[in-house]
Amino acid sequence: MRDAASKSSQSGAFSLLFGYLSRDRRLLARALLLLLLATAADVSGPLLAKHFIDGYLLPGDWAWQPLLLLLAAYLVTQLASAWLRYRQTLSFTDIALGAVLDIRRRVFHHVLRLPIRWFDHAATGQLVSRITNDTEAVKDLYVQFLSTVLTNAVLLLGILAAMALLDLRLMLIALLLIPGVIGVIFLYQRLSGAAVAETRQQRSEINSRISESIAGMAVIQAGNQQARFSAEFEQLNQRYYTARVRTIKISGLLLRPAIDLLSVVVLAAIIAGFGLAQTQGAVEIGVLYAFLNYLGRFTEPLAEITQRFNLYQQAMVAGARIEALLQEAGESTGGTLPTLTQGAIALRALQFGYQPDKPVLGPLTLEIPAGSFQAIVGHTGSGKSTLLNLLLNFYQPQRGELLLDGEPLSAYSREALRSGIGLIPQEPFIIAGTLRDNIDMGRGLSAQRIADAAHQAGLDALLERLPQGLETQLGERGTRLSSGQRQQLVIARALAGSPRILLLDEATANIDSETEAVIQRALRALHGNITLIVVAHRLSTIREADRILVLSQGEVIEQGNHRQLMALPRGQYRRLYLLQQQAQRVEMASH
Amino acid sequence: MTLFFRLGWFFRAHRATYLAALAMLAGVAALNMAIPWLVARAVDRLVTATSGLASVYPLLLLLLGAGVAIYLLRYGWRKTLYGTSYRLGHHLRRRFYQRLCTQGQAFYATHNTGDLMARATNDIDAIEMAAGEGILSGFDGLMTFVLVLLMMFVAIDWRLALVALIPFPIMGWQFYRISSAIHHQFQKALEAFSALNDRTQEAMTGIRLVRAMGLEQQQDEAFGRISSEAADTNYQVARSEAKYEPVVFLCMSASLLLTLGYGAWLIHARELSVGQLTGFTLYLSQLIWPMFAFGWLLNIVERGSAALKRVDALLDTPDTVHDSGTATPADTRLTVDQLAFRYADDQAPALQGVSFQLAPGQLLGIAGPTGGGKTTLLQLLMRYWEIAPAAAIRLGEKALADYRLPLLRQCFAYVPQDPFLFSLSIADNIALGRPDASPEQIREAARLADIDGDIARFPRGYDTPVGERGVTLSGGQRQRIAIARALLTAAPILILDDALSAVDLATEQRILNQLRQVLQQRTAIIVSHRLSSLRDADLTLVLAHGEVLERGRHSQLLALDGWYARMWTYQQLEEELEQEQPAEVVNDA
Repeated sequence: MRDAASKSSQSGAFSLLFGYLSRDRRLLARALLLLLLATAADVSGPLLAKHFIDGYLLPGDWAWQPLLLLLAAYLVTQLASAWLRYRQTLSFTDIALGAVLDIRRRVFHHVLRLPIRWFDHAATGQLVSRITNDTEAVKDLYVQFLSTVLTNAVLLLGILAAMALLDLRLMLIALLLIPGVIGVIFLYQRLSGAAVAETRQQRSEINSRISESIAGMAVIQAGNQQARFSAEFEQLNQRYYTARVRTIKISGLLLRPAIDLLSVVVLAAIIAGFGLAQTQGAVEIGVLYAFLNYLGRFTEPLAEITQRFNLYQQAMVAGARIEALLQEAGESTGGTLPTLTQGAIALRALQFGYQPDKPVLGPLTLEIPAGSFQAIVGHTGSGKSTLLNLLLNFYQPQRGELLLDGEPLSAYSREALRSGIGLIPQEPFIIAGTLRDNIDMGRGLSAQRIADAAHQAGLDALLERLPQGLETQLGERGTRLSSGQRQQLVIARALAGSPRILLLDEATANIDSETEAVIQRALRALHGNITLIVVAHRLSTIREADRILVLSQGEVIEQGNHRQLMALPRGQYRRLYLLQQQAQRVEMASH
Repeated sequence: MTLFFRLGWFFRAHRATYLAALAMLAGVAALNMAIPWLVARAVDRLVTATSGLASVYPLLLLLLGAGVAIYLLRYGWRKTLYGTSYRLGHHLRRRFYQRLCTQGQAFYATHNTGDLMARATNDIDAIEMAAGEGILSGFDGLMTFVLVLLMMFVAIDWRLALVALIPFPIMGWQFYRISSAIHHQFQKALEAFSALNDRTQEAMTGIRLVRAMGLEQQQDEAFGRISSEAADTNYQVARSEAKYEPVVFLCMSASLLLTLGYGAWLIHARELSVGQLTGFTLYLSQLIWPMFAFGWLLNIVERGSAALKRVDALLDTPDTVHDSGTATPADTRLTVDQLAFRYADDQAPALQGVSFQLAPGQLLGIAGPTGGGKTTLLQLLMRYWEIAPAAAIRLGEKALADYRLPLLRQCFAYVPQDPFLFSLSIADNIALGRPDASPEQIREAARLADIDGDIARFPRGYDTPVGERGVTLSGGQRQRIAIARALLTAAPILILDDALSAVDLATEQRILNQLRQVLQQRTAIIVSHRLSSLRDADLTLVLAHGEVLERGRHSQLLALDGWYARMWTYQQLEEELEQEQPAEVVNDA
């Protein structure tokens, strides 16, 4: 089962990565044509030189016309080769960067629309790395692997063809280099595999040891264990050194030195072969000249090709990870109801748990009339945020119903929910841009709406003071807003979408009095027009709520307005309220 | 070149190995010169001599011999040169680690872990590279360059050499231009990539907000813009890199053309042989490497110098706490007298006018709002920071600085709020300060810290490793293991810095009850946000804004209606609220 899955993601990765080759056939055809032309022009140089040596230099024929022709041919082929090679490399880069850009956009687009439930188990760091680093591996596949291997393979073939044209037997001698080099590289990979893996292992141990020691240095010093830890680190350090010396020995024995030795052997063999051929019949000296020229360029492509294969493996691994991410099922598209008209909410025996067997909410039954002001209070883990998450359609209830204006939430289109339900989040975040950008947030709202929202949120006083009004730049280099002004801006942003329901998620009880005043003013102004659901920590914020729901372990244990709940002698709300008053007294005592 | 000067001590210490490596490199360069020369001779014999093949056999044997010798020498210098540079890395890493061990908290407060890690890994790698590849490219490049020129000018024909070399200065100049362009563009590409990373990170952490506000489209567009920028910068780099090959190719072609043209003229004039011409072209191709090597050398040395500066800065940082005392602690009475302390970068003092006395066997409680100076006070008692005047804290009759630092630290068993466990076994973690403790002693300490039962349930008991390869411990378990660690050391002064914040109330009470027996012979300082832990303290200080706000025993403090008394009431209310199960559901009125 697992094997089948990994195999399918392997082949998926293959078609994902190589699919871009066929996507722009014209670009690919151009790159290949450039490659062939460049190689042909490239290998013709020594051929022309041979022609010059054997045809004119040695016989002493100095007729200027054919010589000028040869010179012109040489200049043209060499310049053409250089230019074609350059264009060809850039063509492959074009394909590669286009592929990376497209894959990145696709992955980002896809991930942004995955169900929120999926993010509960996703590690952000890894996710980011898939979108940025793994897609970068695609570039390596095209530029470093595909382009290099193709170029070098074609160059090798071109050189071999030119050699065969000159002398078939000598070409066969040169051909011997290919199995030789492949054998050496194969042997190297067999022998060095373990040693290289061990170096990596030791290296990562050294890193984690240093980082652990830095973090725990206070403990080490408190226990006077510096000498012991230093000695242990030194052992590790020594093992790393030994492992690295072993890898350098293997690569010294087998990589470049060995390949160079092979090429000297073939050089000698070609000279010998040339001498042998000469005794049997005349072979022209220009042939040898050209062969020696080619031979100098023969080993490099071979070594390049063999060394690029691990890049291919890395790219395929990265590609498989991207493909797996793209295969994650996206969120359902939502229903068909286009707008939310009233803002009434009804919960009918609603039940929910992040894990099906561990319910954290419900069963809850509640009627929330449109335009009412409802507050939710409770300890951490009482189910407040879960209720908000359900209203935002981040999760779907397992049992029971969640109705908006009498229709199930799932019947509404995504757009209807988005514009119908506004959120004022815990952290007021500001994007770099103008005040207008911060209210609009890329929704393309009309100027009138933005102005209205700013007015409703009480931003008028601020806008009057700013010479550029809504066009004032905010963010790192722009105007700094006070915490209350930031809160106003976030409220304006939520109101600009003309929601029927507004959710307010208060982060802590420790908000400053300026921010609290802003929130209270806004709540008072909106009360009666929009359904307000406020998750509050600071109980003074919600004194005017129509109804306060006290949640505990997913159930409503008390409900009523402030006055009613305070009248319950052993009520939880009353005690929470007294506790907050006591906290204020403690706070006062430390000043 | 200051890099090589500053690493002079290392090169001098390994003079013999470096000389051997350089000799081998020189041997390789010289033998490399011999190959075209041998080929030239062989070609000439084949062209002129009638004896044919037999006349070149000795030359071919020499050729093979040179090939084998080069192979052996190459292996030799690689092993020696790289091996020695690895030795340098090894040495620097060791010194770096030892340095880390002697630094106090002032040092760690000003250096973040990421930065220290970067110096211990990437920077040391860069220095190693300069000492290995840097020397290789510098020496070998220069050697090859000089020898090839020598062979061309002296052994073959100086006029031909002059003509053939015309394109090479152009090649060097182009290399330099391309590599500086790449350096610049690469920086931009790195910046674009890190912007892409930041953008993605932001979108992923804010996913709920993005979704709640329907910002997917806007995010897509912003991401698309930044990815395009990243692609553009990458394209710039690729375009510059793609220029290397044509430059090499064109210069070589031009040079070959000049060689062939002028060489033909010389052959025609009977001043050069065909073999010499062939050999000459082989020498030409050997000149590409030195051209590359010089550019590369500059790059490596530049990076290595910057790295060495950073590493040296750290190796030369003086110890933040000097161990110059000589006394051995005997009396463990603590006297704090008008202690004041300010962190280097802060305006406001962290502590001011703090005074108290603590006799052996007594229990000191410390409470107060966060940021009040509690942890600072504890760290000063253990001399993690220097204070002035030194006599503001005295152990027995002497100031802390008068004692030998390791002996002073042995007086304290410190349990921080967020205890650090190493990726060792649980037993090793408990026995960290006393590696020779017997399993029974370890178990006894664990029992006192109320963690023995938990450990017994782990797959391998006390041998279970902590961390990735073993168990993941809860905050409360970590705290209790740290307490066991502190108890095992038998230090006369036990310090708990809010060390039970993550265990529940019942467990905390159990541990404190068990500690009571141990604490009869030991001094203890307990910082706690739960005031019930401090009820039995002989003296409790309330620290706020670095000053002692209130002081006294539990009953005295309760009578004050200050911070302590109010907090006590708050915690009583809170406890009541938490312990009671919700009883009734009140219906809508």
